[in-house]
Amino acid sequence: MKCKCGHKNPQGELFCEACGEELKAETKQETKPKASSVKQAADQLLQAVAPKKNGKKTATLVVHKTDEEFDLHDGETLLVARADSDKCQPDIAIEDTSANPSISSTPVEISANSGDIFVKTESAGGFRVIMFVEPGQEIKVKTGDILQFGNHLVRIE
Amino acid sequence: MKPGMNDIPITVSGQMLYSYFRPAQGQEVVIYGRIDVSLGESEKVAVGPVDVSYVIDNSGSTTGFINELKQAVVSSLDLLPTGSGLAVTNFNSFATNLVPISPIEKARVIAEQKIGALFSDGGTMMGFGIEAGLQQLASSKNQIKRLIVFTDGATADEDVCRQVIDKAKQQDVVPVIVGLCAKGSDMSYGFNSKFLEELGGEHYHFLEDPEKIKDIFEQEVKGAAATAIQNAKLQIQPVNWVEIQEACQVLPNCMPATNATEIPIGDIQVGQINASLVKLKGKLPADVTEGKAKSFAKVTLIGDIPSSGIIQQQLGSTNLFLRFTNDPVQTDVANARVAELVKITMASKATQAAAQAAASGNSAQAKQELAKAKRLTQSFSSKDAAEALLAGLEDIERDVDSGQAQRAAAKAGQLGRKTVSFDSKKAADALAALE
Repeated sequence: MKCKCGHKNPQGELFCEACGEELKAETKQETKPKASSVKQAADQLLQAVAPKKNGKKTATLVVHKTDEEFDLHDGETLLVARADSDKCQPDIAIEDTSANPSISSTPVEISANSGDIFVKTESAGGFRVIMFVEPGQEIKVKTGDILQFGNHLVRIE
Repeated sequence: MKPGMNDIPITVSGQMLYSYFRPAQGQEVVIYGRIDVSLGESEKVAVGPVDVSYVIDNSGSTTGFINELKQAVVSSLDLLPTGSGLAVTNFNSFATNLVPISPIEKARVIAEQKIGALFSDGGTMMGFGIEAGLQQLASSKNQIKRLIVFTDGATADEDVCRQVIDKAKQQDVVPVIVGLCAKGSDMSYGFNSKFLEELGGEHYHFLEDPEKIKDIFEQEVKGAAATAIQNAKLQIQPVNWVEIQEACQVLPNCMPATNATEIPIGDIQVGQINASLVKLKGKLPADVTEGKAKSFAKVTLIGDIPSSGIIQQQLGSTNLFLRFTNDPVQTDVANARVAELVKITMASKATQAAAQAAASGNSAQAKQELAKAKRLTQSFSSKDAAEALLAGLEDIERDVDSGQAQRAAAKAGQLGRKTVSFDSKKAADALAALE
């Protein structure tokens, strides 16, 4: 198995012995999914003829529970809301069928502009952002914020 | 690899202290990895008959416990599997071969008679004894061979001993050295624990209580009979942007760490816990991105399986790798099993440093290292292991306080090395079960 770095690895290796690159993942990425149904084939066709996004890809949004991925391009806004929202047609629809849904039907807007990413919502419940604080960095927090240390959460009241 | 090698139930697995890391390109990372090797039962790794040559010190100083010693040898004979070979040699100022190597079924009765007739007398020339004992194994038939040596004193022929032990190792004979210096006796009269440790390595046992000789003999014979892989080593092959900072076996014995690409792990017994720790350093390459994984090192197990005629072949391999994510929920979670092994290693190193300080007469330094070992021990997740180790550390502290520096050094050296679990099966099980 030849790695992209040029090193020839013995058969069955999962990682390149020279540079550490994951070989299995590389192979998987190269494999194009086969259309297993008429619907999938139609979706692929629609995707092929759909107008290309003009902006450069800024980020990929990954839904933690389902691993679904959504690309966010410069100048684009994606709406995140409950799948059965009556207030919008969400780009990222999150299923929440519980009796007291915690996902709002009012969308959170995630937009990209010149490489920066912005989030906002009109939802009364608001939403939380988990930020990574760099060593040495100081940020301002307020009542109601939650700090996460490893698996542990501390609420500021 | 020989045909059918895949049927051998060897598992080599690697885990990093963190499974997920932020894709911080160019950042220098220093991270621990844990490598576990385990062996299940299988016909391919048949365990069973072994050849054991006992070399017994019956010099004048053994008077107080010669009966316990004789009983310990006889009792351990019950554990030799059918087809095993047995030889018995005694030494004082001379060496005498009491029982030439022969099948246990034939040798048993005569061995009991000869051992029963032994009495304490004369000086201590251990070199003569181990040379005679090793000769018995030269013609023995089984693949697993043990030279079990017992002594309670100083020998005048240390260099001869070293030469014979080197020869034994070349012949794939594992030397087991049991040294006894009874509690209350004065160690400054020549009992040289450091020398005996040099001979026996991970198979050196320092004892203070003659009643324990039996336990050690039985443990070693049982261990020999369960040994399926010999001369095992882990080859660590870091990728081109990673270097090894430290690597050593930690369980069942914490051996000195080096930056070498090979960790000798010796014998592997069926069902035994066997874990090693590596500390790796590298600058994350420019192509690490969210969702990617990178191997830091490939680890390969090499060893002999005498029952299958396999000599120094690859028996298994694994990778020490990280996945990259910006999700703090995943990046901040340390692996409990790796973290525990790091703490055990640090506690063992502190205990071994205490042994060195005590041996060189620096009691203050010894106490400082013992205090450090105690602090680390108190943070173990395995409370059984912590309890066993703390009791040992406190016992050593008492020796330091009462001016028994050499005794403290011998005990600390042993306690720092024998990490499985500080002689507690329950503790070993707790460590193995940590997830």
